[in-house]
Amino acid sequence: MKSRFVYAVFASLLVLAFALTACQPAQQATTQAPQAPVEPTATTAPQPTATVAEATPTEAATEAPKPLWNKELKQAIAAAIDREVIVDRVFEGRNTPAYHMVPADYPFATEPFLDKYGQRDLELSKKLLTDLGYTPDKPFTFDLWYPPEHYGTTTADVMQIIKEQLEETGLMKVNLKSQNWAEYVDSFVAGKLPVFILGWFPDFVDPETWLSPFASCEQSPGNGVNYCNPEMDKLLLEAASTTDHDKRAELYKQIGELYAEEVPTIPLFWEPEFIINRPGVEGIKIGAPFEFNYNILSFGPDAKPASGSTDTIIIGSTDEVNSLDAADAYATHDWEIIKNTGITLMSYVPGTADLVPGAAAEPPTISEDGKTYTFKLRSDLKFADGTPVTSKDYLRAWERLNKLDGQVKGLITGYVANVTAPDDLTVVYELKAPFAFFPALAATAPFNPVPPDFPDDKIVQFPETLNGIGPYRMVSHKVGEQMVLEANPYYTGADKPKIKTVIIKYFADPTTMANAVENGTIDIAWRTVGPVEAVRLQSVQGLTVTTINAPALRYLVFNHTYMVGGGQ
Amino acid sequence: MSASLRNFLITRILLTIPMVLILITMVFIIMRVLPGDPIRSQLGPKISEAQANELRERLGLNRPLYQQYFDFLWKMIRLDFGTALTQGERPIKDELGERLPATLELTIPSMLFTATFGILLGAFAAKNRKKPIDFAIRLFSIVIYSIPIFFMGLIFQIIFSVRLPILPLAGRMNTLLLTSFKPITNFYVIDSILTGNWPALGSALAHLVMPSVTLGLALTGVYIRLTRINMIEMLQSDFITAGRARGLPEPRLVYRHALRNTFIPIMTLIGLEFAILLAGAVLTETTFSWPGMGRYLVERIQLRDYTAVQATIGVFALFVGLITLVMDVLYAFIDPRIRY
Repeated sequence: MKSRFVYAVFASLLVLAFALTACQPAQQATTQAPQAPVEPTATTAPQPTATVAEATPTEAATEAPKPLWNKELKQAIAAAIDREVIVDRVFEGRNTPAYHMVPADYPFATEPFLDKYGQRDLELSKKLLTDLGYTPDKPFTFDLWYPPEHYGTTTADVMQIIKEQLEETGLMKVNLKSQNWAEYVDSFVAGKLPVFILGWFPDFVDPETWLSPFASCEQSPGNGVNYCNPEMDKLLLEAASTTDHDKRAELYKQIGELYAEEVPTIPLFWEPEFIINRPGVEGIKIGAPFEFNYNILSFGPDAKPASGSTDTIIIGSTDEVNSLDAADAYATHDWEIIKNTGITLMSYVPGTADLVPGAAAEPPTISEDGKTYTFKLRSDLKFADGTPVTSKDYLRAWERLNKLDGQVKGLITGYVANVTAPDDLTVVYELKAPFAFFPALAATAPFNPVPPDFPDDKIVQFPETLNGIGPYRMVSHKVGEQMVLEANPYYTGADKPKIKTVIIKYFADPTTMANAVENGTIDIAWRTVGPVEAVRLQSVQGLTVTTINAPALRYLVFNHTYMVGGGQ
Repeated sequence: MSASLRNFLITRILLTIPMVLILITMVFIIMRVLPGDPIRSQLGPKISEAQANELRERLGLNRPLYQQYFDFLWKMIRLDFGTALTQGERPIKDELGERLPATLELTIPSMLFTATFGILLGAFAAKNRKKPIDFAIRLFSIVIYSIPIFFMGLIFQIIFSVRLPILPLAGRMNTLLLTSFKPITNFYVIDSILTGNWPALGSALAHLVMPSVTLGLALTGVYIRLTRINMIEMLQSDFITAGRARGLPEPRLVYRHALRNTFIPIMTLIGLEFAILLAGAVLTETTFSWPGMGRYLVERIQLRDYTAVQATIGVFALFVGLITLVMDVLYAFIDPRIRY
């Protein structure tokens, strides 16, 4: 009896202790700014006693804190990195070195980092560091952070090579540190990490989505960069608001040069994707916009469809569906489904970055001040249940977006101020500023009319059916198992579906999906087949492995408000 | 049912309540002590802090912690698990309703396989102690125990599905059959019987073979060794010697009298392993794209989906409580000396 009592007391104490630990960080967070991680003091290097920008310097501080990163330091790091070596050693040459934040096959892409630093400029790096007063005995020491699991198992190898390359200058000492993804995101958003690796995937096909998020005063804090330079802001705004093609090209060239000079972030490499198909599967075209159009797929004469019938194609995926409501969805796979079951206002010619009217009858008319875009809708559009489409459906999409606080809201409300529908076939988008890239934004998933059966007051992440205006309609979805799309009988757009039924089969593991395409359970293995599987399947007879230049960038971020006190 | 057994059952059931309460409280606290939150884990830096806050507001994550806790408890009491915070914010009841049957459908055949196969091999080895067959079985049990389960699964896939295509590769049912299959209980085997859908039944059973054998084999090693060692001890005990002296046939002695008496530790192990497998079959589920609880829980912990993890662990706790209770009652049936 006595021992039971002791146990009971012990258990309650344990629970109490947990409760107290749980409450403590919450209380602290409200009273004081987050503290930077304490750095190891083992080295003899000038150890910056790091504090975060938000923490206002106390009276006691002898010296005003200053940002850790100055231009020369960032340049020294940029010059010392050899992307070719990273790509060769870690990825056996599959990945592409990135010399700019903008993908090479995007409009207005340049390679400013290659122009400024070449493949690598170790001497420049050494000179910059020597000029700053660093010596082999007193190297510049800092923590370089990465998430070990989020970007695949290769991240640790990449970071190790970067460390080696930087330390080859003899004037830098890099401490590699890692945190799991959930913690990592919290840390860099709170400004606790001095320099760290991230990945970026674009929202729309324009340099804007690759530059402003990292280099504009307004957006860069959200990505942990905290960079602000009026000159850069001016150029970005001008480039974003210029409709003249040549002028834009010139501006983006200037931005590129300034970017390589100022180095808010360092682009490292592009990670490709692979698509594998069985013999006879035709019509796989994935271009710069990274869109996979199911409606142009077909079976050739020598095809042996996995389903046994040329009316049905089975596509494997390791992605998961998060939301199929265009007012909420903000993940690549969700957008792929929404785009195949819908038509965005503007759209891309499959396999290219050529922007053409989609649900719009013609390119938009742009007002003098560049802030109002008027779209005339095609008159023959119908939802998959037969309901005709009017401009009200676009107005409803805008209202739902605003009201429902879905994940994608910010992407649109960041640019669009208001939407009106003066008549049944006219939609007018008023922008917050003259954004010349708006047609590219109008090719994203949220620019789809809302299916008639979607309620106004609720996000429908998992509808039972999805009746959009696109080539296909979703007829069933068993979460984590498969989704069935069928040709939309009311589809009036270009390229009527050649294959009547598309089944997306979900796999938990890329290796299993690779085996499935090998043994003929599926016709196509799409996102995400890993490089290991892709290389293996190349040697399997009959299978075609295609490398896709995905717009998936890995880059290093400098946190510009990370402070040193009393350092160099 | 004797009065003492009834008392025992009532006490045990009542004891489950504080157990579940302590567990879900700890999970509630630990999930929130872990760094990261559901919004950022899902969207990373893609959205601004203001939008992240809007989302937190919508999901009720901005409320004071004690409010969230009591709200959660009150809902749990009414068996209302609420909605998940990530992956489409579906009702957790629906998610568990899909995942739990899938897991049970995989786990039960695996347990049956491993228990039958493991116990028989173990008993056989004990009977033939120190003979070559005993060494062979022991070697087998060690080898099978040390092969990583996903590796074994992959090898099976390559042999039986890619090279000799006789078994389906992954998933719970043939893709085409599944398009028209309407689940009722989400136990696909049961549902196909209920709807009289025989091709679906065949497909569901065929899809079960590889994952359940893989999972079952991986666990077999432990059963072989446990049964063998207990049997050896049992075969040297007085009552077996007495039986032998009376001239009882040897197989009957071994497989009936001795084996029955080794069931107590084995039953304990079955109960424990079954509880572990509810969430512990992650690797098998991943290799065979089986949409079960293990993967679900791991994914949701990574996404910091507080409500989903809390509810899932709450349900597990109830399950484990139930299983141990059933095991305790079964002991009394197996061993007449045990009385409650």
